[in-house]
Amino acid sequence: MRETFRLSMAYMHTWLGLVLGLVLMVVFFFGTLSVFDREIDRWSVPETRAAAAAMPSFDKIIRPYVEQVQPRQESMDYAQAYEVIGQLPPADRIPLGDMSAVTSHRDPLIKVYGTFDVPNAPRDASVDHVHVFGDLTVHPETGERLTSIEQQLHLGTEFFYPMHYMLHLEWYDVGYWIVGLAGLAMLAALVSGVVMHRKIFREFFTFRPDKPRLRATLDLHNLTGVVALPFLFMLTFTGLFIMAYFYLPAVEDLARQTIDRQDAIEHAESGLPEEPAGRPGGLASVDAMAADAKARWAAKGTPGEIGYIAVTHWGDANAYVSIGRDSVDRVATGETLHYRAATGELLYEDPPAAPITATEGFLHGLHYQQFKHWGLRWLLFAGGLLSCACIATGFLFFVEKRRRKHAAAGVPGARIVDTLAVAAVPGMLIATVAMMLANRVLPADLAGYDLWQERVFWLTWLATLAHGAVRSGAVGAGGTSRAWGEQCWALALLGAAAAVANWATTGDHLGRTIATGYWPVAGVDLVLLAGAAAAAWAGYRLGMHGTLHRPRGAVAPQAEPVHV
Amino acid sequence: MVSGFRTVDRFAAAILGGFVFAYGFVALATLGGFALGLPFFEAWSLTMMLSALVYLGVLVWGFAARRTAIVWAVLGGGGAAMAAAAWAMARTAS
Repeated sequence: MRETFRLSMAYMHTWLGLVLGLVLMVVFFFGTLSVFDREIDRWSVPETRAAAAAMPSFDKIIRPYVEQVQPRQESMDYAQAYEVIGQLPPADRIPLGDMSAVTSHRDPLIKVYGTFDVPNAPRDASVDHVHVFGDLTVHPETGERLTSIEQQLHLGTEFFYPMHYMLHLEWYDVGYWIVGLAGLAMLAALVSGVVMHRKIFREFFTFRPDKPRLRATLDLHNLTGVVALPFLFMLTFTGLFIMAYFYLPAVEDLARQTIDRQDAIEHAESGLPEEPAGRPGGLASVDAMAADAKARWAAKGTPGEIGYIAVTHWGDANAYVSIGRDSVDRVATGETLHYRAATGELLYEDPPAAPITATEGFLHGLHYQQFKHWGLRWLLFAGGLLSCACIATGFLFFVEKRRRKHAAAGVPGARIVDTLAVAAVPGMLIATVAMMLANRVLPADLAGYDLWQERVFWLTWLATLAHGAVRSGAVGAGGTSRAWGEQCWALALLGAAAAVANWATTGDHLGRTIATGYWPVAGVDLVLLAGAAAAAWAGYRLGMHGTLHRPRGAVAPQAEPVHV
Repeated sequence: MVSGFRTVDRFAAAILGGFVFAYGFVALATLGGFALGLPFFEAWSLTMMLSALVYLGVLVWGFAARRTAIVWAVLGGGGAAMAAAAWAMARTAS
C-alpha cells in the first residue's frame, strides 16, 4: 500500500509538473522580478528617477488633482466588454465615488486613484455596482502632474507584475485560472516530492555535478527543492490565499444576503457610512487629520509616515477620510484611522486585529512584501531564483531521462519537452531582457511605444521557441539541443546591451548611480550584468560539453525507481 | 486510447472534483463557523485560509485513491452536498 501511494505521488508529480511546469516557471520568474517592481519602473521610465519621498500636503498638492482623475480607457473597455448592460456614458460623465492617494518608502511618485460609479446595470445580477478606475501621477516635491509618463508602460508594475498573476490573458480571466491551477499543482508537487524522496536531510547536502548528467540534474532538482521548500510552500500558499476569494466565490454565490447583512452591521458598529447620502458635503483640512493620525501613532509608540489617504463617497455628505500608515516595519498592514470628511473628527479607529484577521494580514503581507528591509528583499529574490532553478531542473530531468529511449523508439516526446524548456528558461529571459532593451532604444515619442515593447517581448519569445524547435534535432537523436548554448550567448549579449543602452540613453551609468547611491537603477543594471555574465559562463560551458556525452558509463535505470 | 482516457479521467476527478469539494467546503465552513459563534468575516477568512489546504488534501487523495469513480462520488457528491447545506443554512440562520 505504501509503495502504491508513493507511485501514485510520483505519477502526479511527473505529469502535473510537465503540464503546468511551464506556467510555474513564468509565474515564479515574474514573481521574482516583482520583488523589485518599483525599481524596474524607475529603470524603464527614466523621468521618474527620483528619491522616494513622504506623502506631501493633501490640501495643497493632491486635492486640486482629484477632480482631474478620469477613468482609464482600458478600464472602460473592460467594463463595456464584460460587465455592464448597454452603452457606457463618456468617461468624463461618470461620477467619482472613492479616491485614494498612495505612496511608499520605495516610491518617488504619488499615485492618485479614482473609483467611478457606473450608472449602467451590471450583467451579473449578484453584483451591486460596476466601477471603472483611473489614476494620475504627481511628483511629491514639485507638486506637478506627470502627464507624459502616466500613459507610459511601467515595465515593473504594469507588465512583469501582471504577468506573474494573470499572464496577460484577460479574455474571461483565463490567465488567473491558469495561474491558480499552476499554484495548486505547485503545492501538490511539493507534497508529492517530499513523499517521493524521504531522505530530505541528506538531499540538502547532495549535489554531484561530476556525476552523469541525469544524476546531477536530479541532485540539483532535489537540492533546490529542499532548500527552497519553506519559501516555495509559503509563497505559493499565500498567493493562492490572496486569490481564493476570486477562485472560490462560494459564500458570495450562496449566502449573498448574509454578507450584505453582516456588512451593514459592521458599518453600523464602526459608524462608517456604507452608502453615500446623495447630498453634497464638504471636506475639512485633510492635513489636519493626517497630523492627528501621526500624533496618535506616535502616542501608541508606533510613530510612522503616511502610506495612503483615501476618501470614500467623495463630495458626498457621508464622505469619510481613511489614513493608513506606511507599514515599513512590519509584515502585516493595518493601523488605519477614519475621519468624518466634513468636520475632521475621528470616526473610527481600526481595532487591534483578532487572531484570525491578524493571521490573514500577516499572510497577505508575506506575499506583497511592502516592508522596508533590503536584506530580506534580496533573500526573497534569491528564493524566487532558487524556485525557478528547481522548476527548470524538473523539466531537464524529464528530458534527460527519456531522450535516448524516445530517440530509439522514434517518439518526439523528449524533443517537444526540450523545445518547451528552451523557451521557458533561456527563451523567457531573452524575451524579458529584449523588452528592456527595446524600452531603452526605441524613441519614447514613437507612436505605439508601449505596444512595440510588448510586441518585442512576445515575438522574441516566439522566436526562441522556434529556434529551440529547429535546433532540437539532436534531442531526437538522443543528444543535446544546441539551442541552450546559443540562447545563453544571445542572453549574455542582450543583458550587457540593455545596461549599456541605459547608460547611452539616460547617462546614468553604474559609476554615477553607485556614486550617488541611486540603488533602484544601479541594482537593475547590476542584475542585468550579473545575469549576462552567468549566461556567458553557461554558454561557454555548454559549448565545451553540450554536445558531448561524457562516457562515464550508462546510468542504471533502477537508480531512479520512483520516477514514472 | 484506454490509457489516454484513464489519464484524463484521473486528472479531471482530482482537479474538478477537488474544486467542487473546496467550493462546498468554503460555503459550509464559513456559515458553520458563523453559526458556532465566530464573527462572520473571521469565519470567512479562516475558511479561505484553509481552502487551499483542503483542496490540496483532496487533490492528493484523488491521485492516490484506487478508483476514480469513488473520487468523483466523494468529491463531487460531497462538495454538492456541502454547498446545498450551506445554501439552506444561509436561508434559515440569521
